[in-house]
Amino acid sequence: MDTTSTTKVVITGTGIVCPVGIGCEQTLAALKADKKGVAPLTVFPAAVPLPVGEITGLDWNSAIVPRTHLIAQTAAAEAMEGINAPPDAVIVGITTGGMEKTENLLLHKEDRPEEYKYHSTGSVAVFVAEQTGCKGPALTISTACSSGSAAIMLGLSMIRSGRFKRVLAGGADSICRLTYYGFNSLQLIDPTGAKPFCRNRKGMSVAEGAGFVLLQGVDGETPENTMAELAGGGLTCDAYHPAAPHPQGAGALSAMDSAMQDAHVDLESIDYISLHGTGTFDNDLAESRAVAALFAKDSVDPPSIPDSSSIKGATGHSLAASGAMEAVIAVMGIVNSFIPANISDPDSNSETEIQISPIQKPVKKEVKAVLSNSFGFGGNNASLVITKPGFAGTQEQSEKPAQQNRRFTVAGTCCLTAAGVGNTAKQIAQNKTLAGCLDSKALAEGLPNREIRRLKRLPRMVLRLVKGAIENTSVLSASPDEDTASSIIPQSIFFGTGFGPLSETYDFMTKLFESDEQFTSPTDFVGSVHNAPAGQAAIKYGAKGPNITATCRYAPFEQALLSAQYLADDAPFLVVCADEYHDALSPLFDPPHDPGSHASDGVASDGGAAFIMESGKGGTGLECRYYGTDFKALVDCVKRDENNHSPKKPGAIMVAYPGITRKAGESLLEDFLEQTSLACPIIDYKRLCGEHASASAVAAGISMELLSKGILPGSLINGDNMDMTGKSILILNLGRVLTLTEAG
Amino acid sequence: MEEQIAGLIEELKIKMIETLNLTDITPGDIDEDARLVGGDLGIDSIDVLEMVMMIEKEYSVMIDNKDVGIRVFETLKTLATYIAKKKK
Repeated sequence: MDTTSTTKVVITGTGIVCPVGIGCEQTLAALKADKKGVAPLTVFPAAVPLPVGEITGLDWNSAIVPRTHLIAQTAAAEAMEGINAPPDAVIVGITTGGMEKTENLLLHKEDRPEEYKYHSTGSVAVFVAEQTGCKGPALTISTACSSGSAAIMLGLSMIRSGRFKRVLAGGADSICRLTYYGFNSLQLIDPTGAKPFCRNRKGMSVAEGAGFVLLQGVDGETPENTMAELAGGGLTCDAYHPAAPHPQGAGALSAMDSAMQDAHVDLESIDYISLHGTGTFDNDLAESRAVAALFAKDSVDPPSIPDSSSIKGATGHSLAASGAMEAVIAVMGIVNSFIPANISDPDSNSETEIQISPIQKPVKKEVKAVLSNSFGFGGNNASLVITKPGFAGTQEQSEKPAQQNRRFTVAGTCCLTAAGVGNTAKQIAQNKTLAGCLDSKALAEGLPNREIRRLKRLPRMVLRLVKGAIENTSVLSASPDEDTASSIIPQSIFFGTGFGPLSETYDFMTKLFESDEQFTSPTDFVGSVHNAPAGQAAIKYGAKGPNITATCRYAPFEQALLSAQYLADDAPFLVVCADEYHDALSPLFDPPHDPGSHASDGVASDGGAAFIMESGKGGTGLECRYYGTDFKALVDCVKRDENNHSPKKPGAIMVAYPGITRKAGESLLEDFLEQTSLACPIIDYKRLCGEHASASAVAAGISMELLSKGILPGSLINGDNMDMTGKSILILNLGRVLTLTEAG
Repeated sequence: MEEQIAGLIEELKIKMIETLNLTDITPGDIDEDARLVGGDLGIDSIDVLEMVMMIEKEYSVMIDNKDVGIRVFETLKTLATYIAKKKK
């Protein structure tokens, strides 16, 4: 990774797998022919199979990985065709990962954890990274139906930082019972197939698919294989409702507005709007209002709206994949001078309330600039602007602030462990364990019953953590005059979780299976999406900036922190990471990797930590410095700091070995210490706070508390208390992923 | 019929508290003539759908049309009346 600043990001590869075609060529031909890929469900048996968008033509039977992984791998391989070097990072938008396989295993009461190894949403990105030889970050964004676009937006920001040259970004999802029955329980499925923006629309058609774009940073000349330019993007949150869009499309409008500003493209230059258009009553109405409002800004009434369409009448709604698939189709449109049709339904007139008129037949015309929309549960909105190469550069540009040298500091912290909320450092000083699960009643303390009645363990943990961290900001910033001390409320949220809301997922599936797949709980479905806790926090605190959920079984905290480092703007933001222990699911999804030397003696544990953060302020810093699988790059990262005469020297290292045996981990640590010449006390943080995916967030929270007190207690290092003045703490993961986070 | 509806209202109050986890409310707190959605109980569209699922399971009465749903869920009394009418 070099750190030269990059001005332009181009797309040099695309791959797609969708219900109307495998690969770009087939898909383009199908869209040109106005083909529909929606038909009754066959992936699993259902009493009344509803229309869905299924992938046909992949060899499911001989695949060793679940459906989502195979779909993702196929699209990723197409995007990388003819490219000889691996990407520097892989970012995949995912909502359900290996859920379809997991459901079958649960249905047959399979209890061998190894069967569930591809369950986690994060496993898709890791698989794609392995397949493409990527040794950099393999990140997973789970922001429901905007995931694919949000993943591409993160890729754009990472390349703009100058630290990454080539990023493979996209999204993938497969049909599973959770989403099929879940959306049906919300009465959001059209029994006759999705008809976006039509008067008689009744809902969506759940679908599957994958889309990937290879993003490349360009400093000078545009590479020969450039297909299009990713000119800009915008991420916002409605902070309005867990499942319904803001009725006027306020968040959608601000996402589009922010994308247009980021891209420096005039509204008049947009030739095509790729609409989210799911076919649900509320989405289509809110989106049409937002689009009309955007284009009304600079023109006389009625607004002059460019050609627009939603492809979801043809492909169905492939959830996390949809935004990425639509980005690929936008590139196809630019390269082939083509705009796909909304649908070809004779009864497809728009209703009068809908203020836009999507095109009803495919159109052949030059496309120079596309605005592509994706919106999702939790009020997550993502818009991208994709243009002909060099087009955005012809528009007037303003100065962009340099992103790469920002320092991120913590204004408030809160830890949640079995020992309770906050005050973790005190527990450690008294040599008390933090491993275990916090009592459910203690979790709800301070949270109004009406606010949490629908929330189970994980969202309660997150709300409790955020409350604690915000309260802590007023303590840390308290001035001698008590009255002027005020809390800092975050505007953006970056949430990390290994496995998401397990209680909601389990209760949903149990109810479904117990009723012979007749009854489910819509509340549990809405709560089961990985980003639901972050959505709840946004609603409570009115956080309308980017709202990102990153997932990974090994280092979700580092993924959330990394996402924040690239996507947070100048307003205060929240990084929160948590995982719940679930009696039935945790032993299957996240068994102790090394039972013989289990760090916390097999105590079932959960917890997390939250950080209110800012950039450009003083205070104790917190930054993820390395994420990947390249040991040499990790060592070089530490050496570089040494050579740069970093003002703070490491005073302690918190270490864990995710996904590998303790013995193998300790041997890696030995190599690490030898090659970096670091000599400081080592703390095995999972012995402190137990084994769970979010343990490193707790380690970071403990580090912040220790640094604020300036003392490393002797009880932690089997010695005397150590003065930490002017020193930092490194949080190190040496396992299936390698990460280095610096607190100090 | 009126007696049946009155009994159903009392039954629904208990089922609603349980289904929607309204732990700080007792059946006596619920006014069967008060607006159900967006009223004092803090009930929204997701709660309505949760109730729809419960009603289908417990009474074999389906409410899968949004327009019908808006009318039926106006108050607890309108809901009880609808169930009484449709129940087999």
